[in-house]
Amino acid sequence: MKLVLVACGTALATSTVVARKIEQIAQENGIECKTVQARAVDTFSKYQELHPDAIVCTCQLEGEIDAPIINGRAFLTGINLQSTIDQLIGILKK
Amino acid sequence: MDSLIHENLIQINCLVNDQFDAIALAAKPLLRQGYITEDFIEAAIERERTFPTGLPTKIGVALPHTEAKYVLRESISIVTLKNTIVFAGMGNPKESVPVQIVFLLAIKDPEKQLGILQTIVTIIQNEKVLHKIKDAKESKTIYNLINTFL
Repeated sequence: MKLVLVACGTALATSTVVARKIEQIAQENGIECKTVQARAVDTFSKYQELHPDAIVCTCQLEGEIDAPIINGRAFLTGINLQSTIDQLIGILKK
Repeated sequence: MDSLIHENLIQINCLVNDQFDAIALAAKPLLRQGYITEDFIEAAIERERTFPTGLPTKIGVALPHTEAKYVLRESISIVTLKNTIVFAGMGNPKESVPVQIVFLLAIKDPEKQLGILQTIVTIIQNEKVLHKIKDAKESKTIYNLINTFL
């Protein structure tokens, strides 16, 4: 089971939409994947606690993070969406 | 399901000075009609400074919002701008994003409101629909247009 940490400013609106899209994309690609949402300020501690396979964020992140970070804005704007999806699948299939 | 979109929460062709002014204007009918607390406005502006919400879609869109504790009843306020206003980019505060449509989200329970949030995302990815929203001369036009997606 893969784990993706989804971060945005308040973990309220954008991260919910992005998290559901990630789950859908993973399912379509036969990848077992769970998402956990975090507020920007909690992201580093969640990262340390959960060791996610990737972090998808629509905000800037602080702290030294040794996991792949994907800009999740494409899931909202549709701009460069396919390359973002490819990047995500590449990481999750590792 | 009770929609979060209401005709009287849609303001069109508005003139504002900057992005914070736009948020305050969008919040006005929400405050007047008891959807948010007074502190919502300052909190949403403060959040926009720290975590900006500008999205460089074909017609720039911003999705300002703030914490659930400032929301009394969930709703979404929509403002179209006469003049383009610069918001900072979501995830990239140094980026200047020219915005013409603001969706101010007063949300408490995003799982419950996932449908409308996804609808807004579908809309902002659709250049044709964004143009129709930007060019709308009446609130009703935008209200009806969004309802076709719900």
